[in-house]
Amino acid sequence: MRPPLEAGRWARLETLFYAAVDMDPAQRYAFLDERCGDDVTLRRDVESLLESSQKTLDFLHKPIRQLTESLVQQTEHAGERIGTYQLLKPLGEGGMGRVYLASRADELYRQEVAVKVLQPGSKPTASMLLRFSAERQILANLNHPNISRLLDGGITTDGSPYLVMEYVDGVPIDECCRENGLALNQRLKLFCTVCAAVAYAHKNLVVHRDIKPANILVTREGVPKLLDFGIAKLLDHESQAPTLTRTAERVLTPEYASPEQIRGDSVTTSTDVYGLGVLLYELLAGSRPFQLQTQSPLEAMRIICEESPDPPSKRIAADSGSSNSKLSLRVHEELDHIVLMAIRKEPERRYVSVAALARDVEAYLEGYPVQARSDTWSYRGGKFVLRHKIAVVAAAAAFLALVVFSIGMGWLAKRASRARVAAEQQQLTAEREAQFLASIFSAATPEQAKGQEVTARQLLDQGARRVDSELASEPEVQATMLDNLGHAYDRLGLYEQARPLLERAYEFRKHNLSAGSLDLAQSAQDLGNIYRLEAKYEKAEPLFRQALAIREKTPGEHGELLSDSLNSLGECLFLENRDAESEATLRRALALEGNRENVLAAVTRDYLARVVGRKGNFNEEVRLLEDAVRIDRQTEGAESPDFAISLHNLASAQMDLGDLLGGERTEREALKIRRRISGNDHPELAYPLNNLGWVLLAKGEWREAEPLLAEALAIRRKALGEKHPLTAASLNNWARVLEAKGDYAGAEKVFMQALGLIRASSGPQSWATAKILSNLGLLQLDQGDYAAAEGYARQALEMRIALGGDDNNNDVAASLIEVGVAREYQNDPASAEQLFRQVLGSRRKKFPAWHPDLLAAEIRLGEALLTEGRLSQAEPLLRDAVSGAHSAPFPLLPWQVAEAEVTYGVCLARLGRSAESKAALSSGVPALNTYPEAAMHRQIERLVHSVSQPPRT
Amino acid sequence: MRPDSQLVTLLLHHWKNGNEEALDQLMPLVYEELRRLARRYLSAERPEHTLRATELVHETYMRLIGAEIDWQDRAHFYAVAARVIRRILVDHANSRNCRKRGGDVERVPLDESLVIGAEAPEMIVNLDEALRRLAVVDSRKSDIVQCLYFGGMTYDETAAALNISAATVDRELRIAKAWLHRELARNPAGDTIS
Repeated sequence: MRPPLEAGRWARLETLFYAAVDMDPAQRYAFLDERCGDDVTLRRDVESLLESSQKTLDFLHKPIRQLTESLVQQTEHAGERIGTYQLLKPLGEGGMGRVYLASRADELYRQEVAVKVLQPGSKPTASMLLRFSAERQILANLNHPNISRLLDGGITTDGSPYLVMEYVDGVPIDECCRENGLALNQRLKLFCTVCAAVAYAHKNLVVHRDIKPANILVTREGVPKLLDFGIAKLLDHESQAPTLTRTAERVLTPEYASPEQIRGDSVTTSTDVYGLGVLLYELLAGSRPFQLQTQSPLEAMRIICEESPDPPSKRIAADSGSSNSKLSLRVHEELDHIVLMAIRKEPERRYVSVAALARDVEAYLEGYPVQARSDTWSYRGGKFVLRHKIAVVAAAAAFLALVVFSIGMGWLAKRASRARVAAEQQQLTAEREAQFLASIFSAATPEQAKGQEVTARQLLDQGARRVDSELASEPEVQATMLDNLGHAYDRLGLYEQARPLLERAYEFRKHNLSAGSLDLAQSAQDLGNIYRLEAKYEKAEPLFRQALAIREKTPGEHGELLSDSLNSLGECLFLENRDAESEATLRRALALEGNRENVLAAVTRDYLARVVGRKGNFNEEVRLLEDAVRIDRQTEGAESPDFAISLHNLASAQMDLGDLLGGERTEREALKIRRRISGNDHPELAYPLNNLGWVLLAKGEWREAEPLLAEALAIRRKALGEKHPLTAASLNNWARVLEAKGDYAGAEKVFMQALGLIRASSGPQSWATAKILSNLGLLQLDQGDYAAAEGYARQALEMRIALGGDDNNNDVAASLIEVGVAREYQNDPASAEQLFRQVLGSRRKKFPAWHPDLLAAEIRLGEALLTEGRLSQAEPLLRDAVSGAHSAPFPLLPWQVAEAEVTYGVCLARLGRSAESKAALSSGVPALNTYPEAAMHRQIERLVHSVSQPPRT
Repeated sequence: MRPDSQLVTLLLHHWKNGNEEALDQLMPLVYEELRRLARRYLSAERPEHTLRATELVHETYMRLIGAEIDWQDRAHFYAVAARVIRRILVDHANSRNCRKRGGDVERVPLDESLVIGAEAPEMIVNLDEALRRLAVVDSRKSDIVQCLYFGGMTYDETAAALNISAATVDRELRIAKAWLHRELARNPAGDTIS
């Protein structure tokens, strides 16, 4: 039998194959002799491959072709019978499946229905099945004269789910209005009926999300019916925390898609308001607000999110040659306002509900004043309306690897302070920037001046276009302007826009300025930053090195520039998991800075703190951060963002040190300051919220943690979108809340989501991925599936080791413990013991006697020994744990102390020392109720129970 | 461009940037289009009833996206289609295998102008399994074979889709073919191999 295919072996086979394949037989023989030596199987393997290398795979073509043809012929369903329904003819198809006209086939009852079958012919994906069953569930609950009713459902014999619905024999609503030449009032009345249906759906917590004429059919009797809840979403009040239906959220019809759907923001009832608004627009004006047919997708997206459409009355006037001239063209200004209010870009500025929209339309019909008012944002000369997105929001994007879920890292936002580096340089740039922007501003078109919103984005886009056209002949100026624009985009967090501009500026300078030019260094630095923010470290690093090299060679005082480059480089290396180099670089920066206490010095300390923290050197971490905090308070003040960030980082370090309660206090302060300076919507808020949430979870107080983590998740979703790694981090934390609540299924789903997102952005291996795997393992433990728990724990362990973690690394130790616990619960205390000993060994070297992590190792080992009945070995261990817990320099969490006491108490009981045992147990047991880990809690309780039963006589 | 093509382009773009979920959403769209086209091919009066997977894919691409996309994006699209075709064919092969063993399907029988030999489904299933085994240790070679055989792509297109050079495609294909040939030749269904 041939050996199974495995990576190492394959690699060897490959090398040998390539080398030998073109040799002549004699050469080959000798070569294989030399390379394979005694390994007969290897040699045979290579030889057989070499033999096969002469053959072709042409024989595959025919079967593939045949199967394709047969496939195509058999997937037609029409004529088939499904259940008691006979399919008659196809009515239409969409992404999810096909709809057929069918009739009920038993003799008693003749009824025409519509049958929707999920994707025939091929295995449906899990997400499709989910959507389909969601649709079924949604429709089952909706009972309204204007919503197509669900009659039946099931699974066909070949496994495809199907729905049976009321067949609506009608035409799309826009066609209906057109063909029948309906007057304005009639259209509006029809529209109100549709609104009633949608409002009903909303009352039943369903958002349709795909409102468009094709989904609203009007019967011969003039009754409109709402169809296709295919991508409708159930808004569940219970789980306010958004669950993932990302794969179910799909923009089906771009022209009807709302800005938030396009951006991937959370979709609410307001999205349906938007859809209804577009519908109303179309019913009034005869065309859609945005003409997207000829646009590229990205352009279409931009238009929907940014451009303001003509009001319907204006569109009608422009189209007055069309068939709509039959329609009374007196679309009053108020209708314009109603429509425009419904299709505002920001959900919160639209009608608050579909009912409100309908009410306004009815008010118009009856001659009452309407609620909608025109949208005036008048232009004040000299200023423009800036949609301000702090660069830090996207700055966080880069630091994926840094995202420690249970301990958020706010220092990412240190990026903002970068802007203050090299103050003189920045000043100049800022001036030039302002100049250029001012020049753009003054050339703004009259339309923009007249009450429409102007965004900085629009101005920058204009600027970008002008740079190309106006400055083509002045490349040096162009390069500078490109730089400026790049910066401006950067500040707004628009990295995709910034990058090409900065790339061009860089290229230009590379080719036209001397190799040692400081401008070139600046460009390299700026471009490197963009790449870093986009997590393209392999591109960022050489640029930082280039900037550094230039700055090093430049004579004169360039301490700050050098620090800046060293900091960036150090950070980049850390993100690439090259900790040793990172540390060296940052220490160099530290040495350079000496006793200077400026922003750069604080930044260096922040970064270095993280590096040493990852090594497990928490004391130095805390020291560095305390310094950073102090510097920030001095240089920036106690109400400054930098200070809030440093406080947050310090809190994290305290938690690393084991001082959770102290960390909680610091973090609360950081949160308070952050709320004060940034308000409640700011993405920065997410960091302290996450940390606090984590601590509270660790304390066992999940009820307090819940609102904080929900808030953090909501903020991240809104600011960063669904797919962002930091959103994934928040999802991970949210899953832990669900777990604490006991919603294991929910927790698992969300963990998986987070896992997928992190893998998508950081690749298959990263500390973050390992963390989630580890969490999944703990979840399995809670559910009692110990084998699965072990599986996950091992995966996390392997990954952490592969990333360079060694015995000293606390994450690796945590994994070892998890594997051990899983093994113990699978009745293998011997393996568990071995693993725990290993961890104990390394933690004893690292931690002082009171550190919770060391205590945990002692207790786990003690527990395992207890289970094995080796009381005399368990006792001293547990005694140490108890005395350690009592000797901590700061208060530990109640359950941390209790765990030691109770386990010790059980040991004492088994040793017959009942008085001491009682004391330990009575002290510890009450405090166990906040123990956060369900499975281990159960285990301890079992142990307690085992010694509190009175002995049988 | 139809609205669908905007969506497809968007999804393709996302998938290229590493978003695997975009692939999930792309697949049904591609599949639908492929089927629609294939039906047309067979129902129209064409002298030859031979249907090449490659023609299908090319035309699907054109219909879904149009010619304006740069050819590297097209290459990625073909790679998606190749994956789709493979998945579809394997499912289909499995279902045909099942039917041979007497699965019950309530169908009004359709005309089948083509009699499918028994070997085709098994061969494809074996190929799929072999590719999967290969993918565990070397996913790139598996992808190369998938692109070339299921997607009917050229070497250049395969190279573009997988971000490697055509020379690499060529070289890796040699051993991939050799290995596959060896694997498939061991199976009873593949007796008719030259």
